[in-house]
Amino acid sequence: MDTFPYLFAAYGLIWLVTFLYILRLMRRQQELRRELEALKQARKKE
Amino acid sequence: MKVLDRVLWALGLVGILFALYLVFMWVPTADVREGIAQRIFYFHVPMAWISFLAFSLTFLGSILYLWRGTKGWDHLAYSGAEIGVVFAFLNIVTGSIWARPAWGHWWVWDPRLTSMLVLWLIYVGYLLLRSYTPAHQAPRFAAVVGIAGFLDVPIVYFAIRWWRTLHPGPVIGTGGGLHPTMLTTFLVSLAAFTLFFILLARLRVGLRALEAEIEETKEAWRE
Amino acid sequence: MRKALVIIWKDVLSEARARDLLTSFLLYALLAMLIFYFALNPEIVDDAAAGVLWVAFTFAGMLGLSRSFFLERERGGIDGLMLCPVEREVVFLGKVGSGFLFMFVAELILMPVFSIFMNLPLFIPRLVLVAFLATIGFVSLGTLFAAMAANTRAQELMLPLLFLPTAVPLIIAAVESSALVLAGAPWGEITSWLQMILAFDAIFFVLAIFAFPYVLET
Repeated sequence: MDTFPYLFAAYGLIWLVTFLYILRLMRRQQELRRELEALKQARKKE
Repeated sequence: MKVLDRVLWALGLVGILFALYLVFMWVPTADVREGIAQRIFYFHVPMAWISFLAFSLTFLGSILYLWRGTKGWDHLAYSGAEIGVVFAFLNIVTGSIWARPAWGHWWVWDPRLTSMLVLWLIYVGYLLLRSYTPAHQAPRFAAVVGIAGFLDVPIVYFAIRWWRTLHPGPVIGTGGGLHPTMLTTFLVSLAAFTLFFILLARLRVGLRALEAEIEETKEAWRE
Repeated sequence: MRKALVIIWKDVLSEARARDLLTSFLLYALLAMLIFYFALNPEIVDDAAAGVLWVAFTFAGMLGLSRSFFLERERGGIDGLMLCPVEREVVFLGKVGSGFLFMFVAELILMPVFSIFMNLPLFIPRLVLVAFLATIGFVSLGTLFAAMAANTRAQELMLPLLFLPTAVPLIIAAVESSALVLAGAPWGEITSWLQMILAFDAIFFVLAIFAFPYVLET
């Protein structure tokens, strides 16, 4: 039980990095979709 | 999000929660000397397998890109490299965290860990090459590195392992065979992460394709 | 094949005039050896001799490779090469040929100097053999990566970053075989590491010659 901090650190890190990565990907996806929509709208207006 | 992605996300989440339960509550402690930190194994090793899976996608994508020239393959190659770098990094760091209670040092030049570090560097090089090379050459250059790096993996591993037999030291990981409970826990963990990997790969490839589409739209608009 | 020799000869001629690459390599390697000598604990330096030698060769070699492509670019050589009706593979053979020549000659000059610093016999045939074999792989892989790095905007970073991790097996094998040679180990032990060097040479020479055309294309 005395080595628990290491166990916690390892799992915590995995969770944190994976979560942040997925979050970054999802946010980028939203950004890009919005940008694509904006471009398409602007194009239609021409 | 498409249906498949939602399914992967849900299954992956359930899988991870189940794996966590197994790791923390169900599986017995393997080695009393190492203590509870040994359980890092159940996530540490799957990280390595997933990164290999990712890098083989890069290998596949690189070959097919050089052969066929379709951008889709390049998107696959890039995504594999990026995801692989993330998981390889996690493997290395959790390995280091495991080494500390197990051997008293933060780093032990263990053959597998050291090979993974070299591998990580190779694919970091892949990613940096992409950003520093002009856009018309970047995919082709990267494809070469994607192929060379992957072919290098077994050679690097054997060279380091051989080198280590001359200069022996601590080895991280379970020495002998796996007890059935440990095997089950390991496999559940591996399965859960594989599901997440597939999800991540789909997401990343989709993002690359989206970026490419936006670029093309901008180009077409300029004319 | 003759075309490759022509390319090699062209490189040798321009080098003979400028003597740029050879002097860079020699001085850089010498400096590296010197710094190592100061940096390492005098008691362990003799044990580390093989490592010192190969680190010096490796860093000097990378410098030589990137300068070679840099000079080529400066003198407009690359465009000239590409305009020639010559297969890309032949260009590769030519570059590897001249690169190997420069590096190996430089190594031949440096090894006696190294021997003087490390209190070793001036001429060690087996060490020359190790250097010969390892340099083949070094230059094959290095030429491929240097050609790519020359096209990036971070050339000094990209060549080491691409080359060193990939070349780890070669470096390990070169150092270990050199260490065994210097320790007077039996030939049988040395051959196993030499085999690794040869395997690396073969794999990466073939890979590089196939990949080079993709790198030169515009």
